Amino acid sequence: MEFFIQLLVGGLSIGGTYALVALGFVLIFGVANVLNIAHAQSIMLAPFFLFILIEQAKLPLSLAAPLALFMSVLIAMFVYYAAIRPFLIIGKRSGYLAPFITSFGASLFIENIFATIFGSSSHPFPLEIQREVWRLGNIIFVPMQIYSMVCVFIATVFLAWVVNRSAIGRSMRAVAENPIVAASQGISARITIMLTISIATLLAAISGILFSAANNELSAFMGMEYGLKGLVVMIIGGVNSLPGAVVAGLMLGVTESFAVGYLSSSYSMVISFGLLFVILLFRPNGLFASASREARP
Amino acid sequence: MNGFYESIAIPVLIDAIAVLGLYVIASSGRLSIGHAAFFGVGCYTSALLSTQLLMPYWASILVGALSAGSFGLIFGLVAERLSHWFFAIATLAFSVMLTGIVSSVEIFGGATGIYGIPISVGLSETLFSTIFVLILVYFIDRSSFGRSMRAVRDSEIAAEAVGINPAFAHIGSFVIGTSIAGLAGGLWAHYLGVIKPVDMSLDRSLFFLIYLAVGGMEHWAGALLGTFTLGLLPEVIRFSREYRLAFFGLLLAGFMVLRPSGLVSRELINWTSKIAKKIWA
Amino acid sequence: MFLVQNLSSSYGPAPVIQEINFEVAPGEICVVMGPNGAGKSTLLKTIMGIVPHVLSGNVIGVEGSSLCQMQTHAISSLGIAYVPEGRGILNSLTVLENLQLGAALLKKRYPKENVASNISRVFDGFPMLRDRTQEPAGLLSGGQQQMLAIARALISKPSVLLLDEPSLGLAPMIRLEVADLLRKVADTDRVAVLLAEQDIGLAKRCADKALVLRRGSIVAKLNPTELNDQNRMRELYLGSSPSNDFANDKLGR
Repeated sequence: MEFFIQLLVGGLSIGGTYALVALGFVLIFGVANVLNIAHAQSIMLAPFFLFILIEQAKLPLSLAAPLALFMSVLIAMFVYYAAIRPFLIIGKRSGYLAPFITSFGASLFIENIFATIFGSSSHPFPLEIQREVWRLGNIIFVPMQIYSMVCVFIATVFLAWVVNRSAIGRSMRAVAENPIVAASQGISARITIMLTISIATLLAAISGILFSAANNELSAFMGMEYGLKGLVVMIIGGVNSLPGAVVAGLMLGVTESFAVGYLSSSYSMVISFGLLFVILLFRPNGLFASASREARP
Repeated sequence: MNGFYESIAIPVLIDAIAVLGLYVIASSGRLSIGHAAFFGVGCYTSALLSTQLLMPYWASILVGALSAGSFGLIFGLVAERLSHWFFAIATLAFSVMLTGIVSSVEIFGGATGIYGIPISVGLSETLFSTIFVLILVYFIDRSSFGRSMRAVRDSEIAAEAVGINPAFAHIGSFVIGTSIAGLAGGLWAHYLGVIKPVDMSLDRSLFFLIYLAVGGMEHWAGALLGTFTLGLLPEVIRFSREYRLAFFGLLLAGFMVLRPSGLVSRELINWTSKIAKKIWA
Repeated sequence: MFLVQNLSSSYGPAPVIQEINFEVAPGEICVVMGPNGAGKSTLLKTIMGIVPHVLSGNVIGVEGSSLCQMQTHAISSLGIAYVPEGRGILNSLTVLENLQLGAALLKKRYPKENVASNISRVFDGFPMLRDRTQEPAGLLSGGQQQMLAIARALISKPSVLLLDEPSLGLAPMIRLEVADLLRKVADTDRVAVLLAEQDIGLAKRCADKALVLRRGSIVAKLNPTELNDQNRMRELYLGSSPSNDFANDKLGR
């Protein structure tokens, strides 16, 4: 029984982090109408910047953290402008596959540049994390998992408030549905997209820091590793749905956790992606699918 | 000296076969970032058949191709409803999953893979297979199925309006493409004599994609051009894996922004055939 | 005075409207008519900066600012409100949220304005919306959506109101209501109204003047009573062509 609860907590914890990644993808896909693979690199960039700023520039955490987040957002913005936005100009000849492939290329480039600079093996997380476990009766709680869940919860609630109750959220939803009508109400699609990318990148950055802290490991390839999980979560949840991303993320996390706990760790991959295909069999459009914009590639 | 050129030519030709398979898939508008997984199915199936059941190599390779195609059929059916970008993600997920299974399950030899495969594929077999696949792809392109695929690629709605079933085109092209990849995989296994999970890794899928995207997705000549130029690059410049991937990533992004059709575009083909007609007339 | 001067634009290489010249005074309702494909919608979209290629010409807003080469969101911030074809309601937002978008625009133009009182004012003018604030706008009927679209456009106190085929998909009774509403808006709020319309009935009911467009150029400037002349209208829409004369002959006209 205790084992069950431990697995559950672990699963919810990592599932929440997967959800953060997926939420970022859903936001960008909804508002900018593009599946930006390069967004996955934001997961890796933030912990790496943290690493550089703390270990090499010797900055204190209070300075390093916001700076790392800021730099991640800057790079995300640059990639969007250089690699993705050129396709969204009307009249440019290219298939719909082109922006996707470009973002993929950009992602590959960033990942491998970091690998050449910092090496392809992993580094330890630059901060001291409390590793001593807490006990409640016979149940063992890992503090990092609890911190993680709290972070994810706060981030998700904040996001829900922004999307549903704030003026920015209203603009985001308007641009997501119909950018021209939104423009006729004085909403600049460009500014709204920039804001959306910033929010999505912050979510990815937080998730990257959480992943890295939990596993005490920082690798140039972690972006695609967790990014892929996030994308799978996005598909399972229904690609346009924010609540879907959260539910699907938790589902994936818990399923993985139980599979590893009760079966074996080598099945983790199979389970994660197998879940996707099982869901697709029964709900080809994902769990919370909703028709929004017209036929998107 | 002969052996040296062979050791360069054969892998490139095998890659070209796989990329031709990817080209068929792309003809219907679908993108696969997990193509190497099906290549791997061909590798492992044919390897097991040759080593365990002692089947003759050509039979193993053929069955390998068929089994890759079957995997392709199943995947294509399940993932059909996904729109193109998400289909690509699903192929990626599928390939990671298959690689994971192959690395952990006993029969496939885990991380060490399968060795002792009878080396029965040399330059002549490879050339023969390449030409065979090329002819196959050429005739598919010219057939009514090829036209259907391209119609679906260019506009699904318009294609449906003239009675073409997009699902049929998507799944059909995927089955053909993955079978061809399986064939390439079988050849690879019987050329190298040893296969490991790394042969069907994500890296390999990426290379296939890059060769096709840069070479040109609109025509089979693009598949060949991309493979022969980029595939031979490491022989010319010794890159580390990360440098190579970073460079390819940049190339990919750059090409899609500046010349999205790839090197061999529809216009280029039309222009060359016009010139050719003038010369021959 | 809202001025359109020598405006030409194209979709890619194909020119759609050519050298359009006209003006609309505050409080005036001008209707643009013409057969399908004449360029009515495109004219409005060009003014709003939605069509990407404006070849030449200029649009001058009521305050005198030049609107050429501006982006859509900037143009709407200058007081040009646009109600697109098919109403342009954001279905996933609630009625209130749709109005809040307009209110945000109001705040941009007149920062001193109180949002709540303005929304209240709009509800006074459009009572059927008051009971439905939390409903997703996609669930409203066509007529209600049209009212919502106009209400949203009006909330920002625009000086110019552009409407693209407001009668599309509306029952005849509702069309008359829309016409009356536009008349009231023009008279009371001194808004210059430009509307692209196919429905002659609606045009006759509220317009002060009419422009007939054919193949991207203005072929006539009429006053509303002239819209009653069916022969004239047929000639303007279809042009004087051999086939038209042939038809007229056969029909004994």
